[in-house]
Amino acid sequence: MRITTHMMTNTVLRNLQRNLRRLEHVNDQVSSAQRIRNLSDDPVGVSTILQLDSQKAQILQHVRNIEDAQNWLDATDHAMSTISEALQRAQELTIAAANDGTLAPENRQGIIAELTQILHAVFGTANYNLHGRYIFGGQKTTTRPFGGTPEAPVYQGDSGQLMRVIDVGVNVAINTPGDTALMPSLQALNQALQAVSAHDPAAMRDAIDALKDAHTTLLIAQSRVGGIANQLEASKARQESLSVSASKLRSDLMDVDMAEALIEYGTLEATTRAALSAGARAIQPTLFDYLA
Amino acid sequence: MFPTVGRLETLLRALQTQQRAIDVANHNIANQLTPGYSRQVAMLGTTPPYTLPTLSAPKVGQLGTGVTVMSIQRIREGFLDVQYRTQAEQLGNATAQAEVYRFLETIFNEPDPSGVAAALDGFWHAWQEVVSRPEDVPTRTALVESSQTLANRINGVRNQVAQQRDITAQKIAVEVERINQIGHRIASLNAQISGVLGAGQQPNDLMDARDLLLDELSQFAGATTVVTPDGAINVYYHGRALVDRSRFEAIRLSQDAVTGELGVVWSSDGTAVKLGTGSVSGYLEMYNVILPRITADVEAFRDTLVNEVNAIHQTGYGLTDPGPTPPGRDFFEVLANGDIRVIPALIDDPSLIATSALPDTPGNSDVALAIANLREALTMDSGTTTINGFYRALVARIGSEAQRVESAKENSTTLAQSIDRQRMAVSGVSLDEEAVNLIKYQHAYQAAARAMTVVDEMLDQLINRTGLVGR
Repeated sequence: MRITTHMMTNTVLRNLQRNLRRLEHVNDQVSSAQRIRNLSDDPVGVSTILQLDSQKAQILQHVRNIEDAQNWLDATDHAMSTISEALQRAQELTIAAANDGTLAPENRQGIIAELTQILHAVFGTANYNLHGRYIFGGQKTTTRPFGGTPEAPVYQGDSGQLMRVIDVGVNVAINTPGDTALMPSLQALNQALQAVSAHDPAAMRDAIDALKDAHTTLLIAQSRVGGIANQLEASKARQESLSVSASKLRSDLMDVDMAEALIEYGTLEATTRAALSAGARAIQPTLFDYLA
Repeated sequence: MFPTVGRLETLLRALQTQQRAIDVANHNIANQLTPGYSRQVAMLGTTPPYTLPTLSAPKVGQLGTGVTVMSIQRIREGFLDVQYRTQAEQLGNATAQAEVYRFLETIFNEPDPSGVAAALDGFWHAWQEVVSRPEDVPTRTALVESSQTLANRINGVRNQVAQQRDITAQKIAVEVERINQIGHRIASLNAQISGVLGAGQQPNDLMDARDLLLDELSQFAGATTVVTPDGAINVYYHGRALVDRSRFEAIRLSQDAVTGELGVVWSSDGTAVKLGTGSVSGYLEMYNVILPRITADVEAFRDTLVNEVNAIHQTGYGLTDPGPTPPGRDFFEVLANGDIRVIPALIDDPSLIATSALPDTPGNSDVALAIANLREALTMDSGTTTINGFYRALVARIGSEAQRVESAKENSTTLAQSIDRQRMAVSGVSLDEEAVNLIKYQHAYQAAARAMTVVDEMLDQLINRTGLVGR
């Protein structure tokens, strides 16, 4: 092949350009720590990364939902425990009042006072408000669930469920409507209070039974809360491990293997330097330089 | 008898011929960097010989009368030009498409927090938050913000694709105009070249200029070329001549009134020009097929999002909506220019966002949940993919097309360059060669001058020193 004067310089320029393009690409990868800089670098990878990003956002959302639900359940559990203790104390007081026919009037007044106070406390707890939302009112979260007076409570909520998404396609109801779980307690307390006030042993025995039934109802509701809390805990652990594996997959796809990239960078740099020094000599002297 | 003065003539021709050859070498050196230049060679030949008149045998034969430049030829391989132009067509096509795809990659800037995918995730996230706290107005305000961000990003992508389409149309117009200029130039070069050839001379530089124009033309739109006996080159697009000898027929861009598609037509009668491969056809495909398809995909994505969200949103109640029937409010609206936005009333009062399936039940978030669940719903591609999945597929498709076009461009570049190298090997100027030529012709010139001195001395002897007997 006949080599003409500008073929060599053109070749050097072209190769330098190609090296510099590669170098620029690797440089971009290293300095951004990202393997994919353009859609065309790895179209399938980009699609997978978008999917993983979306999945991760969803997982984080589920974790947030779970944590929010856990707050709610903690508050519910706490309120129920308070009511449960109150019911036990009310039972003890009613039993004491029923068993001792010779109870001094002032002692009976004491029991009545305490029962009244318990009733008011339970009424207050049943209207528990967590960050602006009534937890026992069903879906009517902005209305006091128990209206009227402690002695004549009226349920103003509904029996709607508050659903939380804790996993793809898994919704759980986190609330306990007060009409079924708490109304019996309030009614039983009122019954006990009236029986003790009326000094009627038969009514007191009925009231004790009512208190027991109400307590059982409450405990069943509370154990349901506990069950959901356990489910949430398990779900949260699962979501967190999913999140870790999604992050790892994304990192495998998106992050530059620094060692590999730096080695490639070094190789390209060396090639470019070699091409440059060859290029400096590619502009060879011609015969003209030697003619006198 | 060969005349003595004839000897001087022979040597004068030799001097003139070497000078001409040196001129050619100088022209080569001067044009070593001129684009499209082919090195030229002075073809030397002997002048017609002189038959020595003789009265008797033996005859001594013919006597040479010296040298002359028969022609000045350019050194060029026509088949390499043809090969180069075939590659240049492919290169033009791929370069045009790669350029548009690079912009598309920038428009669909994924994976990036500023992309549509991230905004879409943010949108679903905001609905989920509202599911957890439907009665909370700040949470609703955050939903409005996220929804507006998503709407803006979708509008941005759609408008930028449309803008890119306009820019592509402008590029096509510029290139069609350039094809006209080239055609016009080739026609006038044809006239000049035929004239010079007709006068029996080689219009080397004019032919180089014409070849360079044909190289350029092939990048825009490959054509069939035919060399006529009188040295003109006719340029045809699918049998119809853009250039026929010195006649040139203009082409122009036209837009279909119904489909809006762009095409190239003959200016005179408006029939379509069947252009060969090249950047014009590359841009036309982007304008007529690929960009509209991407726009249609973005719009399908936009419409599904708007329609699905609105359909559910219409069934719900805001925080203050009384029953018994839902107010039937939309969430998004598509404006006349194709942009989408959140209904302004919802921006002003986020409590109007319908999250509840029951009137006057703020804690009910069934409607919000149904909207949040759209994320998993197979609503697109006739129920085979989700909104997110559709967008991901769209992005992946653009990415792999960009990859394909870019690698086609790389290939064509490599091939075109390697053919161009072969052309340079044949036609390029080598300074070493020209230096040798200069020395060769200089020595030949010196020798001729020396020979002339000999003849001169012979004449001097004859004229000045002969016949002096007795003087």
